[in-house]
Amino acid sequence: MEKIKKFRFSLNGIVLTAAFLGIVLIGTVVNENFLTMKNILSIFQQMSEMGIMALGLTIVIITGGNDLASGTTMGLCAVVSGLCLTSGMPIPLALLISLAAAVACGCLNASLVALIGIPPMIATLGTQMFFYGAALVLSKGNSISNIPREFYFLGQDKLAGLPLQAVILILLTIVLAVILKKKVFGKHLFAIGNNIKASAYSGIRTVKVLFLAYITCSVLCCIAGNIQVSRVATARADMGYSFLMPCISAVVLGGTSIDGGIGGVGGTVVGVLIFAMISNIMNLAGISSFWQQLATGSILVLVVVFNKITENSKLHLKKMAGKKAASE
Amino acid sequence: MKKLLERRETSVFLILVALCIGLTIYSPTFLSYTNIKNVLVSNTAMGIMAAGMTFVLITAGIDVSVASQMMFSATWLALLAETPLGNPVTIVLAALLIGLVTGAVNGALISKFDIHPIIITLGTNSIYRGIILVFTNGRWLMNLPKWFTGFSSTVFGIPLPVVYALLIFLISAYILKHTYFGRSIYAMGGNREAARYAGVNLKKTVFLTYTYTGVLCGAAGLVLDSILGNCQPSGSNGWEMNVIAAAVIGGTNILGGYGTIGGTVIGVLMMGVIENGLVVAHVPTYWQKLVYGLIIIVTVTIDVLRKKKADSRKQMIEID
Amino acid sequence: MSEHVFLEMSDVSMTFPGVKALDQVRLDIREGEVHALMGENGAGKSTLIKIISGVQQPDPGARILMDGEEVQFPNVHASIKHGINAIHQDLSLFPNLTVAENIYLGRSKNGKVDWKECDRIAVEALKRLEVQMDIHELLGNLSVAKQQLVAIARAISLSSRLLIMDEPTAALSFSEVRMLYEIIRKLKKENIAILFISHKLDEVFEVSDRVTVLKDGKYVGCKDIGELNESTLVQMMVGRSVTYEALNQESYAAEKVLEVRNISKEGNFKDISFTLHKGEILAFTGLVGAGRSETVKALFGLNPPDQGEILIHGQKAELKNVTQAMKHKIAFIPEDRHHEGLILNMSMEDNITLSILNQMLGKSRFISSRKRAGISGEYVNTLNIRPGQIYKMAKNFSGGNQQKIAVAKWLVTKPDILIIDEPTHGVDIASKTEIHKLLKSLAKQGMAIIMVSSEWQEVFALSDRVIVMRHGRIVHEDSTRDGDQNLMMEKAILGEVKA
Repeated sequence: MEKIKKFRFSLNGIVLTAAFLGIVLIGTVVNENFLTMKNILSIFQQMSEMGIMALGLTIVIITGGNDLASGTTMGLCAVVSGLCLTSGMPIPLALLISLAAAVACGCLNASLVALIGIPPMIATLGTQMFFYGAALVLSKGNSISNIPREFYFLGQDKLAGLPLQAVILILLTIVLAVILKKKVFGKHLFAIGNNIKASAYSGIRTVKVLFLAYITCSVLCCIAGNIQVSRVATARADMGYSFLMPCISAVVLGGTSIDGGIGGVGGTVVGVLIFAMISNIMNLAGISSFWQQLATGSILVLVVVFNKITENSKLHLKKMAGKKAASE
Repeated sequence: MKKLLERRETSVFLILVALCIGLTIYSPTFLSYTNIKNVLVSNTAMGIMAAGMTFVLITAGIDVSVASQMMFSATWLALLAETPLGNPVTIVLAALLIGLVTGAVNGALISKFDIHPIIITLGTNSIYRGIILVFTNGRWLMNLPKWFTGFSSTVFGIPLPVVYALLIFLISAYILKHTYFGRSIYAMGGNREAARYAGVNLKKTVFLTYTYTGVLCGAAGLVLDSILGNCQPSGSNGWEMNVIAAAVIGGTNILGGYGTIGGTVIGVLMMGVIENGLVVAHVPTYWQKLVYGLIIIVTVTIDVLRKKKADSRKQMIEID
Repeated sequence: MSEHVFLEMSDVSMTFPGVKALDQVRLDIREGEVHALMGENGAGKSTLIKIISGVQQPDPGARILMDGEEVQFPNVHASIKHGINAIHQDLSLFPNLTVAENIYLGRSKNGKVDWKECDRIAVEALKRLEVQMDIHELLGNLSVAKQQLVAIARAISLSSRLLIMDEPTAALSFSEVRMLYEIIRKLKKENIAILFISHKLDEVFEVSDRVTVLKDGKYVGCKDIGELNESTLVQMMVGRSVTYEALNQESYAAEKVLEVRNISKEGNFKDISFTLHKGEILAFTGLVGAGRSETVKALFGLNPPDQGEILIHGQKAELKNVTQAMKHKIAFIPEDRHHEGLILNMSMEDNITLSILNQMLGKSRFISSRKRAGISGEYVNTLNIRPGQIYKMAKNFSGGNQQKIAVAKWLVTKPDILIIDEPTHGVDIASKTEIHKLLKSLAKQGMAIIMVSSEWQEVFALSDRVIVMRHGRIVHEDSTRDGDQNLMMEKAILGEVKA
């Protein structure tokens, strides 16, 4: 009985593991520094911001939605936090206000999707532009520097030898993985992603769950934004703008279905790690970063197309089997 | 007459006129030849892409790779112009061909696999941009030949890019209104299943729609190069959102089924005039994004609510 | 009408994953005849007309003869070329296009649209129907009845030999129905054959020449209308081959569990009042579109009424959403298992425990796999769900077992009131009997059950009382033990009892 359940995840697991090992192998062959502790830690540091945002996207994509505004939510929260910090506010208060901005972003997205019923991609495409505009207006189109040194801890300190942001990523991953597997909220996310109508008919408060999902995503974007502000000691409206694509790619590469209902955060983190390793190897080998853009786009298209093909062939087989069974 | 007043284009057009009058009163230079020419010419590339976007949105699809497709074309054209093969004829052919290829790739992927067009075009967006950046290493391609910039010269006081754009608008409007393909686009956007029942080949229509949009993006690349006189492969980032905003402001329903080239042209002009007006009024241009984002959110909300209302009315039963 | 059969279909089968929608069906159409296609829900009528009109492809082996020559309808164009076009139930029109274009769409010369031709065809088609309409109005602005006329105009402009209509009168008022009959008679004179699906006996007897009846995807028979009367036709449709064990011999308690007083909702139902007792099975029956599902959904908070009140155990209850309904211990098993009842891509265990996840928490406040497996296993056994693999996805079970999963999903909430919409729709005979026995035993244990069913035998075999609905109202209420079956059927179908 257990076998059937496990098999479903294994196909994607095999592909993901193979990709992961393949890239580690390539990295090791191409550059002897790849597997050094120092380099691994730097990969962790590089992937954390994107990883945290991708975790949030995973949650939303599992519900059958998407948050194309996640990148600009990150920028907006970064700007809000930057403004608060430079105005001399205490750090906790600044973070709190930044989080409040994130919650507002999430609420707007969720209202459009869950209350009004706009297709998520369209709704968040609109808010993407709106949040970006808001961030530009707040920052007057400038980048905010003079971030107080006391704030640098978030993106530059280490905890037990690990970069602090990597620790945050690991903790968030564990928490979300547990929520998805073991909490009612997690089960409801999957149910909604599979069939929102049947979920509502089963007594799930779909609006509430969707609000929580979009708010979670925005809050995670906010955390990623603040880490980046701390790491580079500036805040800009376009921070995170370029994260959207690789994050979605990482989520689907990690085995979460772009149509919702299937997936998990573990795969997403591995997906982000793969992207981080690719860019790391390219940096080590001195290959232009432009290749990364090409690679992320290609991987996204290849993965969604591959998933569709396998899904369709399964469906076809099933139909054939159905015909056979019915004719007997 | 009554129908004309009911259309969203009409109200947008009236707002545009009011805006122009207001700007003229605020600053009479707004109506000067130079300023008008400037507003028109600087929006031609966007207008051409917006015409393609209108097609895509009517089918209930979306294409967020248009800016990349345009730069893909612009970059290869700039490179081609430097080679001995570069002459006005090959450049025009190449522009259309390159656009055809990028558009056809989008069209093939979207029509073959049942995947949301945003996802596919987000992917190809990175791919097209990545290819040209890798190839040029991000280098600006400066000093395009004279014959190339000649594409955007002014003849009898009329800037040629505006003529190209007008020509493309006319062709696009003709296709939408008077061809089977054009009507199929409206049909599938209005009721996809019914379109299938009426014998519309959905896959073919989708493929052709994205391909046509690609061709227009290719043409936009040519126009952009000739206006600027150089090509920045990493440029025009984020233009796709402005293009979508222009179509939506012009009355195209982002959920499909409704839109006109005329409306889109008004939308493009509106955005051009707003941008120009902000400069004239010394308002920082970054307010634009906020306003456009808000416009998209509000119009889509109205469209969705209206559709919901119509659907619920349809489900009612008759009670004696 | 001539005796010449121009369209002959045989061995038409159609398989969807796990379901045989049509099984060796045949059908023949004579020139200029009006042919009614009848059968209960799920009999395969809509599927059959989708095959004739080229929308769906039958399984290999089907034979279609047109004037004695073998033909195929691989797409809609092929059917149109043979002079066949269909109006589907949802009308398949375009709200964003004008009336004229809705009629014209699909035709073109060399890929171009001739707008003059478009207007001409539209005007001509509407003229044949003798209706006045602004052909440049957007279709979305018209009433449903007018849209229906546009759909008919479109179809007759495309069909030179056979016009197919799927429940054409469903959305029409009385006078519009008269008009449609006139149109049908006129087309008949033009030697155009008409095939129509209908649930209304009176209409079949009024206009049709012959009737073909399907049941559960199988061909039952084809008769001239002269050979039939209402009761013989009903018998063909419901088929006497299946009789259910009569289970309604027990009596129920006098305790009122649910009292509904004059609830109404615009466009859904009007002035609905009834009482449900402990241990009773109350059936709601009537035709599709009579407002039965809308009414029971109101009791589950899915379709809150505008007026009236609902009392549960004598207390006024507010039922504005599912959560409130569940608090009042009401459970609802919808008709559409695939889209509303179950989540097909999740396991049986996930489905069974979905509504009670809050009770599945262990000491650590995490969902306990052991509890989930335990309760799922328990219901697998009590309901005899086969195969009993709780981790298997719901979509991989047969229709009968899927329905049992849907029932289990709500039994785990230990409801006082169980509402079940078409309990045995698309379920094989053996499972049907099992589900019937299960419902009865639940009632015996004191559960109050509301059952919506279109199947008369089921209603009479299972329920204690029956409520007949028509056009959103209750038209009849009776005990099933001493009630007159035929009287009720006639009320449901005709709305009045013929003397």
